[in-house]
Amino acid sequence: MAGHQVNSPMTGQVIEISVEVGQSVSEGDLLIVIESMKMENEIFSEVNGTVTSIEVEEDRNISEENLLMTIEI
Amino acid sequence: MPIDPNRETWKPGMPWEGALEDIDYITALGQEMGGAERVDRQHSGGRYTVRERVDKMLDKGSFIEYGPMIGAAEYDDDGNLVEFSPGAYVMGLGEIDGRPVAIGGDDFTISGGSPHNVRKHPTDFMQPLASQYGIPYIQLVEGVGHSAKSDEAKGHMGLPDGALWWRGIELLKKVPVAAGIMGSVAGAPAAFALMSHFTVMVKGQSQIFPSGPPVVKRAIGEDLNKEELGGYKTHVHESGQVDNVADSEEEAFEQIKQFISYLPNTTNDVAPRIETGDPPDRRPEELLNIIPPNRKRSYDPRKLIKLVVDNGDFFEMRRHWAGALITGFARLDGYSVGVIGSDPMFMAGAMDGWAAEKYAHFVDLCDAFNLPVVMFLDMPGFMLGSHAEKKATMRRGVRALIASAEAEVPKIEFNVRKAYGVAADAAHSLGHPNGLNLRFGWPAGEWGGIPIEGGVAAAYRREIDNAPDPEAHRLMIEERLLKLRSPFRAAHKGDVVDLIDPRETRRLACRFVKLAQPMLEKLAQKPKRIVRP
Repeated sequence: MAGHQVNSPMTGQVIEISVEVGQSVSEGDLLIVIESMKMENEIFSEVNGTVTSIEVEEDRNISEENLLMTIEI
Repeated sequence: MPIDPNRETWKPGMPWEGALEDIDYITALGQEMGGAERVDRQHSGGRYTVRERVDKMLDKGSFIEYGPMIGAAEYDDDGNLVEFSPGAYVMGLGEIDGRPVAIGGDDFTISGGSPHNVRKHPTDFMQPLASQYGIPYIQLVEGVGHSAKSDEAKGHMGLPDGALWWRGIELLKKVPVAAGIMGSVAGAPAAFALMSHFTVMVKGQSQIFPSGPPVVKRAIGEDLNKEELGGYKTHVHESGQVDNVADSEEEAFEQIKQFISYLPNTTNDVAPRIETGDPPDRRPEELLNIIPPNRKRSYDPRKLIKLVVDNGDFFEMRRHWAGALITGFARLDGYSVGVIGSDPMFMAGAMDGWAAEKYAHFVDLCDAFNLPVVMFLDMPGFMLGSHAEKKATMRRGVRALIASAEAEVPKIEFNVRKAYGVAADAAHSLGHPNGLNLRFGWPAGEWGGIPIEGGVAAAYRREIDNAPDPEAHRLMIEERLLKLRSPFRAAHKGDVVDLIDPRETRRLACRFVKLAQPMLEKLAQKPKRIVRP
């Protein structure tokens, strides 16, 4: 078991969180949408696993490389 | 087959048959490389030997080896060979798809690919061969460079004079240079590898650094394993030091072959046309709706590119680094082209410092090898914010702009959506002011000095602040300006050659590339700059 950290690839604002803690996700599933440079940037899971923590909430401003969530694989 | 100390060696005056037998015998000794045990160790690490690598890269039977008998040879007093150990490099002339190449690689089974007492080096044969005959140069690198043991053997520590490099530097100006980083590579071999137009490493198997973990730990106390220090995640995804990653050695060979296939033999030639069987007037229906009407939404830019190019074959370079910009090679009506695109799914396609560097390098590469450039632009401008500032985004952006203006290869540009500010000007400058600025707009096209949203807030700040309802006032001004954004208004002014049905994109691009061929022939005759990696 290892915690896979999902970090934000860019600075922007969280506009949608598409998963909940405890939810299992597969590679390619939509995790979160970040608005940056006036675009909705969809962040997809790179792994199969279970979401164990979500570190941000909707409308929160975030910085590049901020931890968004952890997925246990 | 170990050496037979009792075998009588041919000597001058003896019949020729004996000499022929000795050619086979000594060549076979050389083929054993570092011996069965070392070869087994190479294989059990999941790695091929250098001879297997060369075989897999080349057309069957096409290899003409330089110096298979070069090695440390010892003869007894009677003139019989009693010891032989080959040099730690394999090189020669070969063919890939019938096309000549100079190829070589380190033999890691001998002294870990380090230089030892036998002089056998690519500068002796491969590099002059590639340079004089004008053929691509392929290096399969697996070595760790200078060994402190060799200093002890020599009894002094030499002051390097730089002579190691000039041939490699000359080659970058003349012929395509591609490197496979096949294992742990450090020191001079690492620098040789990176002195290339294209580099690829194998996932989990290749690492590259000036010095490996033990030296790093000793020097600065950082305790990292070699993968953390210089593996593909560090260098393909984060630093951009290495262009591409492959899942296996075979895939790495395939990538090198593909890279070479798109380029001419020298910077003074034009890449050969290949019959691809894809009609130039094909209309990709899916292009019509590929851009979503909601301009905040992304689309798959690689799908867009693949719909346009011949048979959907797109060879991407630096896929995992500076993701806002896409660079790669493809064919249109059989002609080789460089492709530059934006990726709206990554940082909205905005140019940050890394994307600007990727842009400038790729433009230099296309210019050096006389490849016309096809662009699919969706760039909202420079990436904003503190992270982008720390990448010297505007200085690198200016560098991208200069690379464009210096380049003489022609381009065709499809403004598929956004093109804002100085960042997009880098793209607009390619082929301009020396030539025709061949630009087309898609209906989703929108462009300008600054996007309306940010532009209104900045330019009308006082008016907005003084309004009874500032937010409503800002929206009102934005509404007013939004009408100006229609690409038709720019088309009336001649900013684009034309606004087009997106399905016409392939037909126009193919016409352009064909039109460009005589000009490319002339450009090929001009002196070239070195493409700095």
